[in-house]
Amino acid sequence: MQKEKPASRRRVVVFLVLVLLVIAALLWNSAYHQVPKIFEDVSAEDIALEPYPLTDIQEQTLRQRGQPDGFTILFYEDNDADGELTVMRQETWSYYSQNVDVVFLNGELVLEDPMEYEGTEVSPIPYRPEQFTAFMSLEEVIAAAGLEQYLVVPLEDEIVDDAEVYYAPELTFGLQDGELVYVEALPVVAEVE
Amino acid sequence: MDRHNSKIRSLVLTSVLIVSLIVDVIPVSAAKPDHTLDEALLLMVSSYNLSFEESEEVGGQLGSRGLMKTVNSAVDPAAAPANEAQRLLTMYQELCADLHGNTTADQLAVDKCVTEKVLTNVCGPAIERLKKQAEQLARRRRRRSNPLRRFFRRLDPSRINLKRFGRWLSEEVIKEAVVQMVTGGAALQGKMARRVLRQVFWKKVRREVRIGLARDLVRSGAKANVLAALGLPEAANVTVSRSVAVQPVDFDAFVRQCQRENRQEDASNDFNDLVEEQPDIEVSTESTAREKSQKSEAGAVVRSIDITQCETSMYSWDNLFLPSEPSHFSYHEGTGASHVDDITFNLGFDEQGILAGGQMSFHLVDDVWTDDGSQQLSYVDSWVSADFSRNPVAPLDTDGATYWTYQGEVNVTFKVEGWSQCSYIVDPEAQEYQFYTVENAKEETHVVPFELSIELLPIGELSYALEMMGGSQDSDGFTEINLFLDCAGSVPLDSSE
Repeated sequence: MQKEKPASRRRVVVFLVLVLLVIAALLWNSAYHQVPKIFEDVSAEDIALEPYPLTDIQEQTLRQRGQPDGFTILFYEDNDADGELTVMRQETWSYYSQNVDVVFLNGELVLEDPMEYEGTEVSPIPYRPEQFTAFMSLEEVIAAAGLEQYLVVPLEDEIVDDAEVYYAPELTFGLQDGELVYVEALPVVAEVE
Repeated sequence: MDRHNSKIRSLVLTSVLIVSLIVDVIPVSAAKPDHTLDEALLLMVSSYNLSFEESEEVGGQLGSRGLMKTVNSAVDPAAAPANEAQRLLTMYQELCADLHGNTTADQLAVDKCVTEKVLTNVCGPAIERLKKQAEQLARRRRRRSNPLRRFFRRLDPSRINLKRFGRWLSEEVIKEAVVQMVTGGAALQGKMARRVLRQVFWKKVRREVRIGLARDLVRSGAKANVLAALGLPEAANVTVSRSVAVQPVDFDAFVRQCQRENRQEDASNDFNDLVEEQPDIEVSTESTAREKSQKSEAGAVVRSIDITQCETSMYSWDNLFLPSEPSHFSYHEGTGASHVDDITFNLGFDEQGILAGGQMSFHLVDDVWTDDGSQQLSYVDSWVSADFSRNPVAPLDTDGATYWTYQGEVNVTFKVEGWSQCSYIVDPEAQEYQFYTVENAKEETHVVPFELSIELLPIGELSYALEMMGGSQDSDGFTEINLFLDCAGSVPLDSSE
């Protein structure tokens, strides 16, 4: 009887250690998901992507003004008159060289907002608005934009549930529930002393 | 076995039938969006907050130090000085305040009123939603900032990479900051340069909020002129849809409500002006004083009746615009007709059944033709408004549950404008007349007795009858303004709650 005691104690200790390890692993996993991480040498998957079809007015804007120096696109859903959900694409094309922001809602011109920019020439961005479509997955964004590296910062659930903000070269974007809802292409100029 | 199968089959068929019936009966409700504009905006705000905004707070040059703090805050949100929802809330509040400010410029009172109502309807829910979210976020961050959590966070291995994150962000993303720094001119350095950066970034978010608000305004029924007055993108360019997130509003109802309020406000202002000039006009008796105290004990008005028309009514209305000169004149007798429109009552009662507030107003057109109908002799446009809130009246007769009568006096403001055709006797012997037209406009306030009875009918309706009689006589003994109104009808009980 006395010989059995250390063995059972050992079993209890091993069991407790295992439990603690599982808890620690769970905590670690949870913490890992909540911290910013840099991903480098990302290889884009071979995904067939349909670009967003630009509207006539957007094509006309491109012909008149050229490719935008930068752009911001917000994707969301809204109900139409019948209560059906409609995907909304709210995009702003920034033309620093022409001092104007052009805003489209679902491809329709909403306004041309003047801006004040007196800086040096803006280098062309390596992205186009039509590369991004509503609710793309991360893999699709990576493939569409040809990203090789990015930083992901998970947001608290109270800000937006299950959402992350991503930073890539000259590009920031946000995914909610793994779907693209915000993307912004950031232009580059020569540094000022 | 066959019987068993047929039972199952009939059960399945019955279930399918019930389900299809339910599906048919249930009204189609608007689906809930998985991704809203607010959420997309919060992601945008968060990306600015994380990458640029806090770098300004550090006070140094834009660079890894500031960004290190930024990422540090992302790891430890309690350290972040700002709350993303709070920032978006502030933006909504500022923008809504600005838009409210815009309504004051060169707008008619009714247009301004309509715009403000629509704006309040749009801004209110958005601000409330963000307020709640900002509070939740702040609460969570306070909870996360306790010493134990801070201790565990220090052990977080990801912090080792903070410097790397900062450098990476600085090299890859902050380049946009450089674009914005030069926005204010290359001469801008240090703190000033960063301030420009901040303005430009937040300006972007602000514009997205503006477009969202414009869409919400359109959804709420705002017309293009309202958006233009607010300096928002025109309605034609904004997709029109009705959202479950923003309560759709009947724009025309706002217009009607504002027109009504405007009229009542005018009448009330006019009445107040008169009272200030002539304090003896105010009716003050012991009974009204007692009733006033009853009103204050009873508290606010708890029940109201809104009536927009008299189902049966009688009117008597005399307006004579007779000039004192020339002295020899005659007024052609004729037949008259009165047309009442835009009649509205809004009577408020407190818990003890005291008529403690409300207004009544209507528009009346009175025209008189010669007996043979060949010539119009007078035309009068009148606006009548009564303010019941000034003299609370306790029920005179009531069974306490279904029947109430009130007798009292109410201050009635009459605004009258019109013309009368008169004839001047040039030569009595030759019976020569010269016709002329007198135009006149006047405004008077009179204390007019009224009697109101209300009855709850067993059919779920509330019947009402209001009788008012009063007016004025000038020194010549001619009746100038005389009103007799007998309005009766009924309204469904629901609309009287």
